[in-house]
Amino acid sequence: MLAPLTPKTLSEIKVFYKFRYLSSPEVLKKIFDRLRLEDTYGDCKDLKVLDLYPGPAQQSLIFNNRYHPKQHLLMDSRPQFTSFWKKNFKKSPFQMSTLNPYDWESYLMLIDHQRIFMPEKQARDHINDKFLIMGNLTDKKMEGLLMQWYNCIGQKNWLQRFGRVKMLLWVPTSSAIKLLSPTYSTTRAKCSVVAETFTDSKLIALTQDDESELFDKKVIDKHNPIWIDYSSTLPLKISKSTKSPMCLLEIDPSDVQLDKENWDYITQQLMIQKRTPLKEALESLGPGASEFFEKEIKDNDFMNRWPQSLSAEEFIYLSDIYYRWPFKPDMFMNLFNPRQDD
Amino acid sequence: MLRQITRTSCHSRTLSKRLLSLSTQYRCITTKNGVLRENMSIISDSSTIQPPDSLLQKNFLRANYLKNNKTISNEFDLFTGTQHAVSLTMADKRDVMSLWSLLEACLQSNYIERSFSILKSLYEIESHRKSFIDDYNYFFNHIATRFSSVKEMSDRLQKDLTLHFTDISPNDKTVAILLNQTLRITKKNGKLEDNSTRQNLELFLTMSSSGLRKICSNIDILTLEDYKILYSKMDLIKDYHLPNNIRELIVGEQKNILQDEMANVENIERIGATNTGTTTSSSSSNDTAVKETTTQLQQDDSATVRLDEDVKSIEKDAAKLVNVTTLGMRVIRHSLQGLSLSEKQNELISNFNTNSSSGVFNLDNKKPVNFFEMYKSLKTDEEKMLFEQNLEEFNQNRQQTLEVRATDAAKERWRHDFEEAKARGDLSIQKSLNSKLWKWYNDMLPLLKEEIQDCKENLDKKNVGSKHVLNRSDFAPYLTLVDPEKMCVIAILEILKLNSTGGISEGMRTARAVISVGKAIEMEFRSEQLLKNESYLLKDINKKSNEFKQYVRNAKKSLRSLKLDESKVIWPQAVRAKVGSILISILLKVARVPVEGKNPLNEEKVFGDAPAFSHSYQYHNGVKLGVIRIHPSLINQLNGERLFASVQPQLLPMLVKPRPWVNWKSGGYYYSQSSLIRTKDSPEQMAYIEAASRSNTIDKVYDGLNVLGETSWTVNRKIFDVVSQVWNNGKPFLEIPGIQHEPEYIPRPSSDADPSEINTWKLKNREIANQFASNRSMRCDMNYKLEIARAFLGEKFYFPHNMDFRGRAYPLSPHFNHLGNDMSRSLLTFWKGKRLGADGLRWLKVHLANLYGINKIPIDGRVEFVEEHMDEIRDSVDNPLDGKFKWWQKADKPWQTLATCIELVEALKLENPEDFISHQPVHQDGTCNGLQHYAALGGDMVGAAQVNLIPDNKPNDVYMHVANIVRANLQKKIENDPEDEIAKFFIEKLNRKIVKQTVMTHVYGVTLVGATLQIDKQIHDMIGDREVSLKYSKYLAKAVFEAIRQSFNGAHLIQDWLGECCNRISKSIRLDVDKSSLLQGKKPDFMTSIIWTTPLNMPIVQPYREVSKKQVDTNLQTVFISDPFAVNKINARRQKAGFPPNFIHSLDASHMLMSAIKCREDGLEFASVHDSYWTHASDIPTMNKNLRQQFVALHEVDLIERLKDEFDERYKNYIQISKIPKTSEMASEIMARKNLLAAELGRPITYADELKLEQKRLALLNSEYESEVKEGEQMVTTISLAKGCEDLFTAEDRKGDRNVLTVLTPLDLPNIPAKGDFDVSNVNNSTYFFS
Repeated sequence: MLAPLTPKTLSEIKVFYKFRYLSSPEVLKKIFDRLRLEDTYGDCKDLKVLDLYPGPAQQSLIFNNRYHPKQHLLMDSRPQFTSFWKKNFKKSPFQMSTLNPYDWESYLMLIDHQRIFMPEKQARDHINDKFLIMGNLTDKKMEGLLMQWYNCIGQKNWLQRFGRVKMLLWVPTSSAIKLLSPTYSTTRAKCSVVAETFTDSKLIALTQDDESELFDKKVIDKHNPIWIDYSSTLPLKISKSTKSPMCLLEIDPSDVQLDKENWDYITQQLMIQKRTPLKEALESLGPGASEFFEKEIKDNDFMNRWPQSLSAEEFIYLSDIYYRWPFKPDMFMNLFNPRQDD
Repeated sequence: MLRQITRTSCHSRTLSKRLLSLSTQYRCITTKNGVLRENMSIISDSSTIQPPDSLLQKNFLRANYLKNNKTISNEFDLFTGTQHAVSLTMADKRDVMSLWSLLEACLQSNYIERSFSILKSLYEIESHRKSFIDDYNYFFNHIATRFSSVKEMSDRLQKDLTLHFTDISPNDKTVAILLNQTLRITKKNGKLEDNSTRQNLELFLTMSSSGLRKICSNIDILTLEDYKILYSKMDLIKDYHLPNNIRELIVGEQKNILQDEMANVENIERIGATNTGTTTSSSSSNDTAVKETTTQLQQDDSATVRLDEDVKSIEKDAAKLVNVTTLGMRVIRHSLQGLSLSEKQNELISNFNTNSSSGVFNLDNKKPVNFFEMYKSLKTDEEKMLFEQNLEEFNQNRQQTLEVRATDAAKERWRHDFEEAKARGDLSIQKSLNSKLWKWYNDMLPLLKEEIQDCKENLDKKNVGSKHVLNRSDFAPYLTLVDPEKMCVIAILEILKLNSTGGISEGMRTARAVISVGKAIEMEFRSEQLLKNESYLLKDINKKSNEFKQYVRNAKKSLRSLKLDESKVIWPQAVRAKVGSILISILLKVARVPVEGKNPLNEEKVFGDAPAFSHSYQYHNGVKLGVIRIHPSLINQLNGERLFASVQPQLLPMLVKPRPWVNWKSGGYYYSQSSLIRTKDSPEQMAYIEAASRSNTIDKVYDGLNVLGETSWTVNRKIFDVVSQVWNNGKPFLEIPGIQHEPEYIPRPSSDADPSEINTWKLKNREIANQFASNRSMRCDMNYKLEIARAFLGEKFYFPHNMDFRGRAYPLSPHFNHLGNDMSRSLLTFWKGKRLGADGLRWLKVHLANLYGINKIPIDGRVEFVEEHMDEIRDSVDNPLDGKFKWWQKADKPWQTLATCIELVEALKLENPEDFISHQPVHQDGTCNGLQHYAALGGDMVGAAQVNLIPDNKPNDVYMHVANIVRANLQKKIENDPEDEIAKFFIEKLNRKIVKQTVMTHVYGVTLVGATLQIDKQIHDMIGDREVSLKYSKYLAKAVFEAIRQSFNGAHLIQDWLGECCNRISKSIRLDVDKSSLLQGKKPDFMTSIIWTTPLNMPIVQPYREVSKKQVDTNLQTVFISDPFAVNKINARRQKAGFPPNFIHSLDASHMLMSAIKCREDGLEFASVHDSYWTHASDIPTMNKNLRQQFVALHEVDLIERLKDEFDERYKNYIQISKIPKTSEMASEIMARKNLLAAELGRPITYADELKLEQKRLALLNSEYESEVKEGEQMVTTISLAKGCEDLFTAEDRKGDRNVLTVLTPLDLPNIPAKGDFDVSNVNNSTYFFS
């Protein structure tokens, strides 16, 4: 067992690549107390953990000390961190990979080619009890990747091909606000519907700052997260531009069966006109769409609502109707519209 | 002073007294109504335009523009003041423009009261008042037709000017209106002969401010009949008062002097009579007469289009082309029908033939007319000249048909197809596109009419137009201007045309759609106005007086010019958007397409219909965009291509000589306005060009462009036959892509496939889609070119030219021109032929070698090369597609090679090949022309030699030269570091091709990133891995830059100097900048753009400023459109990046135009593609001599020194914002000074304070009093202290924010770099300079 990293050791790291990491062992303990991972993984002796962008790996260390999983692999390609590990984790329970977690190929390499890390595939009727993903995507620029990881849950590919795999992700507060945004909220976006449809996502902890104020009060009340002070995080020096407010999300994939392709199309199209009443917005699904939907949906009140007000269930309802529309546009053709210059 | 006199004289007197008293005072008024006179001078002074004067050569190279600039500089303050001040003035301009167009619309729809209130609003705009009389005249002319007595008319004028517009005096146009209307009224009342009429007329005539000639110059007001009465009957004006073009007509009638010329003119006239005959019909009511003549004109136009047949290709004695079946193609074909000859016209040609003794129209009734063959068969020069004269006359009418929109014809076409389809049964109605369009049209029309009715009611109710708040109903008058039928057709055609534009593959951006439709309606309105006016002048002329037709046409020509120039009014974007959105939303409501689908539940086929267009939003590059999408089933029918061929037939090559450029917006086509400069929303550029145009300093530019426009062309028949054969078999050939109907996509992986697999699949399919789209659009583009070429077979035609803002010339017709690709160029040949002679034969061979790619060896070697390959050349000609060698197909420029092979082989068939009459353009190209100019500017010896400015017995290859230097440098690197793998790699692989593009574009400011990508394109196949390849490329790019620097050191220093000047200018402000916006101590916006004058005196203004968009609500959505009146702060980065290349381009453009003028003086045909100059083979020696002499003339003046002088003058007293290190002595001096001032003022000092003090200092220095000058010399300001700081500190010194002090310093440009020893006169003797 390794001792938690001291502030002095951690100060060796000069660059954080616009990411933020929780470094306080006390706060981390509080978080793990709250998470009650034991409920899912039992004594953890068969648990395999893939730790993506772990950075200084303080969280990894605290976690490992507490649960002693069967396998714990840290994956990061950023030199500041990999050399920090080399120096400080000579003797440790960690495996380390310098593959870039951003590239999809890295996972194929790790799992299918190098066969270093091979999680067990489990049925989708429960959360996988032998595989956990931890990660940090706190740079705002990583929001795209975060959304793609979410998308993989619905798609059942990437690491989610091993069943419903729990993810503990540190994400920018701004992204979490969008992801957890409830119906009728002005911040509700397509990703909120994705999160609601395919996962049970919980807000576990967040840094206290201007941005955390932007959370919908209902969300804060519901999740009652642990508040984190910036002094418990790294990097210490905070400038306006690199403050990177962050939250911890616990993401449990749900078990849903739906026609993902049609569902994707209609959520995306409708959420472009978030505030436009459905009877107008539906036309964007294709020429003649609103006529068809008006025939199918007799409920005028519903047609007067707008996409941001719709629940996950209601989107599924709409995508079922869309599926039945005989004149729906050919999506395959739409996919490859060549880009044209202005 | 003047204003006071006119004011006091205004009020209480009667109108006539006031006018009389004015007429005496008026003579001394020179500035008032200047705008009007400027317009008029186009007509009255056209005979006095100076001929090109070759002696001026030296003089025109001096920047006399600046001198002129001073008198008009007030206008330019606008663009360099502060943002705040500019916005205010531009807001006025914007108001004026929208009120103008509203006034025009209201008057055209006869809303007189509303018009008057708009007039009042215009009057309220102080800055506009000096030209307000123009607006009043426009109004007055319109209402004057309603008066039934002269008194009523003059009372109204008096009332308006004494009650409402007290600052305004009538001008010569007002007088012309009074005359015209007096004649009309008295004629009607039978009082023409009365004494009182005469007295009235005399009174009006004495009101003239600048003589009777001025009054008479208003040929848009006065009719021929008016002139006749005033001149012949009443003797109130003399013949020298009449405008030149009219004079012959009036005086001629009296003297009957035209009898002698009858024979010629009559014959010509009979050919051209189809249109002009109708313009002479007279009618008592103005409006109906105009309307009738207009429709008659149009009917005559469409008479040549056979509507009861399919829109097929026009009759030609050539293979028809397998065409893309798209609307665009149909439209092009339709326009081209204007070229076909009606039976009547054919008959006229044959009549002419039998009547004419010379028998110049050699007609075989069975074959379509081929003018070129006729022309070639003529024996004597006289015959040829006569033929060409007649053809030019004959083509005048055909040109009109080509230029005027054919909306009626399109509508007829749809109706016809619809009825045909109906006759065939229901299913074909659904299938035929045209019958669909007909249905939409029919459904649209009643809705539009209803909307127009609403608009009219709205207008009747409300007749108040206020100055600032233009309410929603303000677009209403615009909807009443064009026939609803026409508007429907235009809207439908525009929308279909816009498919697949703006990055939307199955539709278009809403903003673009609404503007385009609105603009198209506006264009239609303008074009109708033009036709109306044309018939107006001549409405009273006697139908039978054929003998005057020639003169009538001349008069019409100049009237057209006048009308085009006058049309200063443009509809505000908001109006366009609103008009467009109304039409589009109606179309969206009615247009439906039949659809076919599958019920997913039971797999059964389902039929139904759906809206053809739908309005929605989508994200495009992260921005939410309003789009109008077209139903996929309709897309399939349109073939999904970009329909950029439009219903704009005026953009075809011209059948007659283009209208010569005489001012900045007079030249080019006859029925549509072109501008000398292509610019997009840059009022600043426009202001400078307009000023240059007004001060008559850019005649040379016009001359040069006119030379290009007057070069006559025809289509190379033999090449066309080969191309059409290849085209029609549909297989890929050379750069022509084959026919492919559907892209072949890779099937989709399963949905739970790894994301990486899905990504790859998407990427590959997108590539396939892109390739498919690009092939298809290439095929379409070529198809358009070919179809146009086919229609112009046997025709004589011209390309009108204008310029980009740097002065580079381009043809106005976009599809088919000599700037196009190799195929397009090969299809063009000079109309005129010239005997080859010994020189010509030799140059024809050289040209062939050049086209083949053998252009790096001495001239004699190239001739030998051709002579050695005669077997292959003959084989190419005899059997271009299935020959033994297919030699021409391997050439660099295969199609042009083939054309030249044919010409050469034809010549060699003659007993004496030198007797061959050649039509083939032969090119002479500069060696890396940008570097040639740089080397001349910098006086680089080595560089000059490498780009062939120095005589040599072989051509130098600058790319090879640079490659060699790079290799030598790499060698050194390896010696220092034997491990340098990249250097080793390139030593082995380096060749001229790898460096060529980078060397070429270096002068045009390619960046390191750009160069890296260029090199990567050449080497990535050798390396494979993209990252490695990029690393290698970057390494080499740096090495290439270094090598260029070594050999073109002088050029490089100049490039740096240009960049540094730009740096400083773009950070400068005017000393007298509007202080109010500086008060908060904020930094001012940088407003100063880089402006210079070319050697031909053309002002170049870099248009790079930040963009701003305006929000306009339409009934579809809110659209953001760019505001043509916006003047924003400059974009310093683009100003800097653009300046060196733009400067060089302004020089190469000048060189081309100068050469063009000289060549035309020597009787040469001349064309150019930027740095490639073309003429007949036999004339190459003369052209070569001229272009060398012109290059020497251009560079004999130190152009950099001249530029520096110009900058110093233009940016005199400008203040630059700079940074200096805080630790410097200068900084502490300035800080001390600031503290002192702050203490005096009791507050921190602002930029405004600093500027004020500096202004004071400069005023003292310029004082007439010695004591004040002395005081000024002793005065120290924070700004004077900072003088020279730019040269004192390096960029390194100024780094960071904390350690530097921001200071104001007088704008001080760096000294120009020393020039090398190269003497430019060497170029005169350099064989390979252009070769």
